[in-house]
Amino acid sequence: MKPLFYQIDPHSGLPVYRQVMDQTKHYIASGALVTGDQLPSIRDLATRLSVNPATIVKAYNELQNEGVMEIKQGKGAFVSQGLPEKEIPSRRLQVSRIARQLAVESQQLGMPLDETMGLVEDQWIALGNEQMLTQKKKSFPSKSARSV
Amino acid sequence: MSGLVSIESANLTKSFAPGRVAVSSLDLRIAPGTVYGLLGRNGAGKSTALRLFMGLLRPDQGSAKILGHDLWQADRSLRSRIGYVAQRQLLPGRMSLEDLGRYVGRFHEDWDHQKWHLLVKRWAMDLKVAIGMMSGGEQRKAALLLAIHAMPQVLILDEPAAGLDSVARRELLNLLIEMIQLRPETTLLISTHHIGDLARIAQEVGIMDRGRLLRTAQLDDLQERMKKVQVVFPGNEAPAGFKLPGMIRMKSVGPVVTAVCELDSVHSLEQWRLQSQLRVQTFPLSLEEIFLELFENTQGRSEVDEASRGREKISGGTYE
Repeated sequence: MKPLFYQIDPHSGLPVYRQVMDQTKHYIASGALVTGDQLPSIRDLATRLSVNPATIVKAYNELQNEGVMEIKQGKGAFVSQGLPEKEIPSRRLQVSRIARQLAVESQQLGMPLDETMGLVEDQWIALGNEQMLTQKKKSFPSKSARSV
Repeated sequence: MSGLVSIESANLTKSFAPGRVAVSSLDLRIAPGTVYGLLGRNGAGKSTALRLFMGLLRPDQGSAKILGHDLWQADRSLRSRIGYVAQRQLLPGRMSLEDLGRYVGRFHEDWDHQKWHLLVKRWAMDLKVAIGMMSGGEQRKAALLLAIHAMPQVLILDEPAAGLDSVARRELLNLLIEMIQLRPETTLLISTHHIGDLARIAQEVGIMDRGRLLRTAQLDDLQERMKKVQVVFPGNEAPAGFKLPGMIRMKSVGPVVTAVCELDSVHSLEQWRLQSQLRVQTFPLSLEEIFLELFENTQGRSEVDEASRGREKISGGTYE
């Protein structure tokens, strides 16, 4: 099982089961967890996070309902598939924060929207080119690091 | 016992002096396997309610039952299935944890004395020292350990974290979680000021104020419904008389309206979100903030003007 670092903030205002759900999705969105990976057991996660095991059960059930993971009786919980784009609130939230910052600063500098968007596009393409170059240099595919 | 309720009260009322109602018309139903947290300021009536449930006080009106029985009248044998640790628990001062373990073990079929030794050691306590020689915090730990190790069907803890340092508090939380894992059907009723601890363990919460139960709710549900909503209007001024659904409190400064709302669903704000000239944002509220909002709301509505001693006193107090 991959070492995952979950963290609960009981004062955040977000229900604890949502925090567990969001962090699991985050791991999947970032690629730290991929299809078939096993998630921590309910008992283990409840003990590690000092939370009611029923809360972990609720989080896992919701994740199963959303198709994010599968609970196999007697075996544990496993990531079932990659997340559809709309299911990743943490990613949307993070990008919208950065987008807001960009919008504020562009307005303060008096840059119009189309010009700002043009710059984002340029950066997007430049990043794609850089990634292609680095992938060519790599002799091993990144997934070989996965533990069996 | 009735299958669906393990702790229940109906119209439970108790006053200690004329005009001083400690618990007023309390209706509570707690299902087996639930962790229920009772919140409220000092003097809200939490301890009295718990003592009424334990049959240590006689109600003026109404009833209180645990596992289907009124403990004021019930057979003493029922007590072995119910654990209770009071705010000031008095254990026999001359007995050691070894003696107490043997004594308490006689009343509980499942008492494992070897595990009791291990538990006492894990909590870095001495088996042979007389309880009377221990510090206040250690005596409290001793009472909690005895109650939890007996694995009761219903466990009632009155301010269990009072007098415990932060390490002991976390140990207590972990011990309760262990207990739930071993016996998921255990019902736990806890009164506490430590809202953060409660948010980790409780599934349901009740908020008490001046003897009344202001609110009882699923914790997740309460947190998902109660939101801070900010609406920014175009221009310099928000329109007069502006209202949001489920609004509890509102403040407006220029074009910005900040409100605390209890929303029926995520779609409750749809009609405002669709108005392109408005900027609508929602923010989560922590359990502590929700507690303060609900509390201040009743303070505002009551005849007694205690508004000035509302927030400052609580936030400067023991709530975390």
